[in-house]
Amino acid sequence: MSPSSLRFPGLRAVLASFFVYLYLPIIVLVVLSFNASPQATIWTGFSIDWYGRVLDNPDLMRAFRNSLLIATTAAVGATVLATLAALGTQRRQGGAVDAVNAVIALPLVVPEIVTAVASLLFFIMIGLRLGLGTVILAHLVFCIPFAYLPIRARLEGMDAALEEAAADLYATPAATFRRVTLPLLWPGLLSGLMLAFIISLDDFVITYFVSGPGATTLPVYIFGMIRIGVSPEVNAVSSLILLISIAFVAASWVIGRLKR
Amino acid sequence: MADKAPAAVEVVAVSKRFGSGADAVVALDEVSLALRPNEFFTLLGPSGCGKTTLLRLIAGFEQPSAGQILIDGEPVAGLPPYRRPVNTVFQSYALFPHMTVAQNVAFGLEMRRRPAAEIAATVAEMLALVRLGGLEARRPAQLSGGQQQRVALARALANHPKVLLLDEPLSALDLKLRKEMQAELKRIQHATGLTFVFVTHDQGEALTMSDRIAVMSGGRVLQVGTPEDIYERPTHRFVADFIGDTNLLEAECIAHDASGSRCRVADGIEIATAQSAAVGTRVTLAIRPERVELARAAPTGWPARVESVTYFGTDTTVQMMLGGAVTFQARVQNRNGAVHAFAPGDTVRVSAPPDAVRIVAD
Ligand SMILES: Nc1ncnc2c1ncn2[C@@H]1O[C@H](COP(=O)(O)OP(=O)(O)OP(=O)(O)O)[C@@H](O)[C@H]1O
Ligand SMILES: [Mg+2]
Repeated sequence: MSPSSLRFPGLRAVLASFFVYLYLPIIVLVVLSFNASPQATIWTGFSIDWYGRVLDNPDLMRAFRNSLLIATTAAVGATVLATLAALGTQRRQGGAVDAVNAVIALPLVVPEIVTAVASLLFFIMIGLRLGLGTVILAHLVFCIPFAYLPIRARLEGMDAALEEAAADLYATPAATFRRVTLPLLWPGLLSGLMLAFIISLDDFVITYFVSGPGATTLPVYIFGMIRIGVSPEVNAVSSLILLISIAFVAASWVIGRLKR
Repeated sequence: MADKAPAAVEVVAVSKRFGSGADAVVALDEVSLALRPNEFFTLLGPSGCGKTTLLRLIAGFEQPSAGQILIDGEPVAGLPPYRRPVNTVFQSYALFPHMTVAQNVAFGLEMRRRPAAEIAATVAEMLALVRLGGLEARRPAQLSGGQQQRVALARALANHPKVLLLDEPLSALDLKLRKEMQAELKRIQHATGLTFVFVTHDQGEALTMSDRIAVMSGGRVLQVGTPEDIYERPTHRFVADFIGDTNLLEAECIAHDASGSRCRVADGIEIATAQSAAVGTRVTLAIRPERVELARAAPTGWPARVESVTYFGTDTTVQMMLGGAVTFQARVQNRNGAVHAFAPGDTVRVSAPPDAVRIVAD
């Protein structure tokens, strides 16, 4: 820590309360997921029963599998499309490219509820039956900007001379892409993919609107559980989601290290 | 004559424009050059004169707006870079950061699907040539600037190209390393017998390393010749001025015979040149300061007044006023220690042999 940040006596307290505010609820949630009591908020003893209950709940597990399938498909699809878009606008300047970038990033600032209603309306208009397919389609679309930004950032930071050097050394455009562009783009691709996956896994509003019967995802299922009451089971499943997210971030960090 | 063999690279009336309409930039303007096989050929000129653009046209990264380029006698119009028998050492080196030194050097050979044994042998040979044996497994980020530069060189040389293009490869190095690499490049060029096209804006580097130099300015090639040609017999005012120090004098040609002409710079100051010009024309004369002779009381020569005397170690520069209006400088070698013969305010006699007086175009 730099000395100047310690000079104000109140700063440590502010910082501490900031972290408490940020992480205490999550810690409480994880702790209570090991609570023996069926009352979600009163501690009576340690137990991992609730985790067993989660894994034994077929509806919940189906929702979890749906979520994984949707997030994987949407994240991979969005990453592929985002990569193509980033390569297409690579090292081009001018109004057209600015416009393309703006259009790709625009969904980030459109209120989610608007996207949700619009997606629902669109699917009904073109006569698509709501279900897993519509959820995947909707997720794939809103994941594109999240995948696009890190990929484009990585591509922009890449020295144009590297691809020219490859061409100079007899590499065809395809070989240049495979041997030079792709390996250098890899960390960007990976963070785009992870980001898209997490965003999709986490989505509630759009999913709630465009999922039909049989396409319930984990967040939608948890929302249904909460309406009956906050149970330790909800705490347990939330803790599991947290664990998956942390595993993902850790994995992407480790992969980023190994590449060096 | 060397011209019997096809030129290693021939550039025929090549122009290159960037952009269109009013804000088009003419980077190259009708450039023509013929490079001989095994030649160390240097493109010399100030920043923005089109050196990099010319290399990029030869390498195939850009297409000429007009004219054509032949490599080894074959027109290369439309051939992409990966089909051209030339390799480039980039100014930024452009080493692949995710590959080791050995993988970088092997890249071109792998792309041309050479057998693995041949690749391994060539990589070892090239790394030995650039004196980088033992660093095969390093990444570019773990190398010094000079080592990276040699990897870039090895990577290009490994393909045995007909022509090697080098874009200011030494500009990022400090003076000592630069001197070493200059010698190294000459040694490698000698050992491999390749044609080198070497870009620099450093006139000293160009003079010491090149077989021939093309001096460029504003997208044009002004003069092509040996270092001696360029230095001793500049054809253009720009060339004389850009390379070394020079005295430029405006004059009028007043007489003309078989041995040359006489030109008047000012009243009472007439200079003989070995070149001929028509009587009555206005010319610019270029005279190198070290070719000027100074004497205190010679019977001949042009009268001048000493303005300042500057000691440079190996020589002393004497700044003078010719005929009261024209500045002029002479460089006197300090062969017998510092020269104290001249002091500001002295009147001296100045002369230069006719072959040292060059008529240059504007
Ligand atoms: N892609 C481009 N688009 C527009 N103008 C360009 C482009 N490339 C080069 N130019 C212009 O062409 C001219 C010649 O550029 P070039 O890079 O060949 O110069 P150079 O002699 O290599 O200079 P330096 O010594 O600074 O590297 C410059 O005026 C430059 O601005
Ligand atoms: Mg340049």
